[in-house]
Amino acid sequence: MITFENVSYHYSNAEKAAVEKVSFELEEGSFNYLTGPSGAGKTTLFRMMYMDMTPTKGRLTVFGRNVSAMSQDDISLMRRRMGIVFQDFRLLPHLTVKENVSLPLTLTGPMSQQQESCVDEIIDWVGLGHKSNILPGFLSGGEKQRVAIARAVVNRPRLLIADEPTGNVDASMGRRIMHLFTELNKQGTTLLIATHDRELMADCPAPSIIVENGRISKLHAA
Amino acid sequence: MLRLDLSARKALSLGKDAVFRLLVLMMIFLGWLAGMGAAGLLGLDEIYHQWQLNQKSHVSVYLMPDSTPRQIETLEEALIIIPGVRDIKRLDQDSIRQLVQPYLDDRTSLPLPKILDVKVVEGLDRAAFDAQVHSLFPLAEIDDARAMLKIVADGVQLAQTAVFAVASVIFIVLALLVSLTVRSGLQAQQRSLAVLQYVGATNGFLTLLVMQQVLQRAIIGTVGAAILGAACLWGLQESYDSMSTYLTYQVWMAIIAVPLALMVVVMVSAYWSAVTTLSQRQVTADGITS
Ligand SMILES: Nc1ncnc2c1ncn2[C@@H]1O[C@H](COP(=O)(O)OP(=O)(O)OP(=O)(O)O)[C@@H](O)[C@H]1O
Ligand SMILES: [Mg+2]
Repeated sequence: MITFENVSYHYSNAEKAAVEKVSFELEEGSFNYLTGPSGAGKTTLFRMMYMDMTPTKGRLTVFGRNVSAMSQDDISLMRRRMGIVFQDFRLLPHLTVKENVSLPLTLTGPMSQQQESCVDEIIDWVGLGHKSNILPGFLSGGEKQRVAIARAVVNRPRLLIADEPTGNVDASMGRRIMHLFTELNKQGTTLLIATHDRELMADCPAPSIIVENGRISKLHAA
Repeated sequence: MLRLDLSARKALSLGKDAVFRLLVLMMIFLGWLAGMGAAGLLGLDEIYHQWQLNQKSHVSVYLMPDSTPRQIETLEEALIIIPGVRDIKRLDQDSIRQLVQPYLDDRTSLPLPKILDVKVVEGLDRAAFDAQVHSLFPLAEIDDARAMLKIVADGVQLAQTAVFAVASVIFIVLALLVSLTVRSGLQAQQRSLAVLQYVGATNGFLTLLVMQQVLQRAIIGTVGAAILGAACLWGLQESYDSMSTYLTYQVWMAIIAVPLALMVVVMVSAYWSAVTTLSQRQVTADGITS
């Protein structure tokens, strides 16, 4: 599903590469963690996966296609099959919780009744049913994170990549979110979660890809 | 056109831009101005046309005061058989006095000329006509409106060119304004654009979002301009009776068609600006947002 072959990424204003000669593969339907110290390069790897930037060296394929050879529209269409949870949420401040969550479903025209209720259901699931008409500016960090998660899963993506999805929520909400993710994984969604949370990894065991200093140091079996 | 969900439309709202909000007013004003210009142009053309027809269909022949009725009759008989001559009228003394009054002293005892008012049609053979008149009355003067017509035609053409130039400027200004507005609007919404693209919005979809908002305003602007223009014409018609002859079907059409054309220009400009701005937002080295 995703293949890194000797991928490096060097930010234009940085001294050294943030990611250096990384190779690994995510198989269809797999569930993996991506861990490593702060600044190791996890977000950089994610950004390449959701095609926010292309590798400066090496070859990266997503859904079987080389990301360096894709047009902006190809990228957009690819992203419709992906759910992305950003470390910094990226909600639209002028849209309500419900509108933010609905956004991926509105790209192909007005939502169906069924999609509407799906949106309500997912907002309920992340515990924000009573705040669905509120703007993100009035939410706490953890609540925003849950909106971001709801938006990422509302489309039932084939690939879900989540950057620290439980970084701002309490343990019980963390478990609830992990439960949702593993449920999706059981239904076939490929899952990659970046996290520092050892407790979470112990609760839901899965293989980990460990990044250090921009390199993959270990591939840990569950 | 694809129907858009409300929240998608809200996600990329150009309405926050002050210039964009003025678009409706700009369109109403400029559309009205250009429409009135075009209507005036056509109206002027109509006035000129009607006057020209009138001028062209009459030729006046001035004969010496001492011409005898017998001589005049001979001339009339000779002229009426020339192809293109429809009717010949001898003006009576009173009409002649009225006509020449401005050039004469009031109590003048100068004898008045004799004047023939000849009604003609387009195909008149002027050379034959003139030759016939001069063979019988070598000193007769034939009033020729052609020189006058040329001066008026030049004037009308100048006015039309001026109106056309102003209308072109209006179209260009509005196209630039819309282009600028769309560009700056999209520039100001980088974050929303990025998020929409993260969830899978294509450039086509984003363009559609922009176009829908422009179209909404353009329709209001166009309708507003057309109504305002029509109201002005109606007002003119009501205040001046003679106006209605010149407010032809074409003039009324112009007051509607010009704002419509302006709307097309606005839409094309907005589309072109949106497409180019969005396609320039390709993934940069360090990503769209950093
Ligand atoms: N936009 C940027 N420009 C320059 N350097 C950057 C940029 N973003 C990240 N970096 C650098 O790249 C390296 C990897 O950063 P990255 O954000 O991938 O780390 P991370 O593993 O996600 O860290 P964290 O766990 O704190 O989120 C860091 O040294 C960071 O300083
Ligand atoms: Mg990170």
